[in-house]
Amino acid sequence: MSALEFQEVSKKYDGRMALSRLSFQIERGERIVIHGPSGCGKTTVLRLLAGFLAPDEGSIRIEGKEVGANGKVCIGPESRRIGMVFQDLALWPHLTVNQNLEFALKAQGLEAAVRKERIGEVLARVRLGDLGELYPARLSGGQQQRVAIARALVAQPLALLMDEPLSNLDDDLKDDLSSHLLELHTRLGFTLVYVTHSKEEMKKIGTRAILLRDGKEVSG
Amino acid sequence: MKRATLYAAVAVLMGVGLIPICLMIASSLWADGAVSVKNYVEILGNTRTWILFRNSLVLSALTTAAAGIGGVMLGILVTKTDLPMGKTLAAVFSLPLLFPPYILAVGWFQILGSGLPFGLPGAVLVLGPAFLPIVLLLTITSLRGVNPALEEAGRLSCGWPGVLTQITIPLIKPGILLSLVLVFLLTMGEFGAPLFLRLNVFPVASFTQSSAFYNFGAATTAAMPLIAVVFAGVLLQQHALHKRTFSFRWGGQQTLGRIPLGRKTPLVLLAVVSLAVVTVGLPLAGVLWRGSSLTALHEAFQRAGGSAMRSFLYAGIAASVLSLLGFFLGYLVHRRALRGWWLVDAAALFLFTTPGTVLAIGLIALWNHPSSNWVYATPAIVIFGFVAQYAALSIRIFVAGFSQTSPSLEEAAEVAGAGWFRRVFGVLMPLAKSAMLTSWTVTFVFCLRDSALPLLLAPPGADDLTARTLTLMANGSAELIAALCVIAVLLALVPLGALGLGWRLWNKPA
Repeated sequence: MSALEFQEVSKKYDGRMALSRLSFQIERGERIVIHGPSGCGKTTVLRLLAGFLAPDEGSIRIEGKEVGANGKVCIGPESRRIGMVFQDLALWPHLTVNQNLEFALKAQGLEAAVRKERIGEVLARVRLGDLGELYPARLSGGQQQRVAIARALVAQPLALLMDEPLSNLDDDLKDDLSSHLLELHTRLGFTLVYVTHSKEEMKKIGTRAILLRDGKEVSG
Repeated sequence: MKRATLYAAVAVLMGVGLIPICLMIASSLWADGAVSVKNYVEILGNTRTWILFRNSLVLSALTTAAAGIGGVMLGILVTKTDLPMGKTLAAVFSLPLLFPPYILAVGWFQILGSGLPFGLPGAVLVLGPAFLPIVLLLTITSLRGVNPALEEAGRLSCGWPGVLTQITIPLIKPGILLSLVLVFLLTMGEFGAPLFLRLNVFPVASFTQSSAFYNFGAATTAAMPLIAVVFAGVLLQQHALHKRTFSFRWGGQQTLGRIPLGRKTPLVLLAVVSLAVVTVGLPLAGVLWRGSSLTALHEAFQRAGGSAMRSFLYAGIAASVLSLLGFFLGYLVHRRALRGWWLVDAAALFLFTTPGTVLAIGLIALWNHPSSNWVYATPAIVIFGFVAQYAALSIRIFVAGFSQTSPSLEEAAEVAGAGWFRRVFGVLMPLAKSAMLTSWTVTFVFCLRDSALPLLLAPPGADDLTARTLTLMANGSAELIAALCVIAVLLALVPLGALGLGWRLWNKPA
């Protein structure tokens, strides 16, 4: 059984075809990079996986369970056990780092002591152990990136989706963070779906790549 | 040249609004030929002051609660859910913003007659829906400004109720707080509806003192608690926004799907439509029912046709001045072009929320001298009042307009050697044409619906429609008053409709 699966998925926006009969399977623990030029449908794949969009045609499965098919979201984003790092990070500015991480854990109904322990662990993993009480605006770009990763991982998701997370950073920071991401992946073993238009990132992060052009998979 | 123009714009705002208020405050501290707090001792020691203050506070608190709860809930429903006819419903709930609130009171009176609850309940029934559009529109504009990714990030962990309460609403809190402060302060200064509903509140007392008893000293001192409340409100707003300025946005991006109401859709729609019918539809229908007979309209035109024309003229002139002033002050605030830019923004907000009766008394105190009769004895003083009161609206609209264009467009012209005025007329104004039209329209409507300023400031024989209507309320028939309200409604709707149509035709793709 695959961790994530697209079967003949199509999606249109205002009559324009964003994805056309796209099929792929991603195995547990794999690191997949979805690569292609702007507007090729990369982000749409992530939004469909997360449950923010419903496929117009075809079906999407997570761990064998159909989560979206033929115009319907069968299982909502909150029940898919997916973590996501957004292109603009989307850290909640009115919450501290700890509160950003705690949000997902509270929704799981975990007790305060368990939440605190889990947050401490994840922040230590991303090397932000002592910054939990700060608001995101007080952090540097690299630190914010790590908080976004920590927030996505704290609820122990089945898969981590990343939407061009390094595109706004300088080269040194990109190198540092991508290495750190690989290190985390090795330790935690999550399934990673990483969207980028950078060939360098594709080569460094992916064990396999799906190349998209005009909403269709093309062979590399 | 640029600094001189901006300083001149600031000077205009100070001249028409801040100096009169400062003069009032100074004169309240002057008694028996010396600086003294005697006036305050007298007014604060008077039980009637505290009764008026309590009435004003209770009315404002209840109106703010009603408008706040209704406005935020409706704003969320029409913006975040898939409720059918959301835009139409928002437009219907926003209608009362176009007319003076007393029109709703007159409408209810036509329907309920003597059964209308006068006093506090009636005032809340009228002012709640009258000011609900402020909360509704600011909630909508705030929601449109929320980055959808912030909500999507929340949706990965919990359902919509959790996202709304823990992410969305906290993020739009400054907008909601601003709207609540505005409603509270505008209710404190509301004059026409409490007058009609026989609720004795501060602005009515100020009006009575100045207009009926010609006691400007008492009126000035009586206005001081209102100024203090307004000042506190503006400070609260500035604190909440941390020296940022809240700007109206239009055409905000919403890429996130709307919250599906599912099987609850018919029930929610029925509830919202019923609320619209009860709070807006019924009172307006009441006005139309009694006031649209040919006899009543004929009499209304005979007795107030000139006033209606003057309303249109005063509002048109004031809106034009305000759009020009708002352009420069909006530029100043948006680009932070002078030190203390936020003081200009705060001062404009202070003047916007200062009750019209207070502003009018200040203007009378400043201009009522033989040497300045060219202002005091002419409609110019009404225009001054409008400019002072509504500059904040124009400024905020231009701030929103400027935020949608890149400063580099002006910089490119500057590098190419264009001077300040060439940049203004060749680059900035063409880019801000939508904001210019919006500013003109919004300020036109607000000037048109104002009742306190024209009533207190218009020279004899030069009153406008709202002043005329409030004057005729004392002895005019119910049909006549309703007909005057119908004319007021048409006076706002017809030009707005024409402007909207013209704008569509102008922007129609070839």
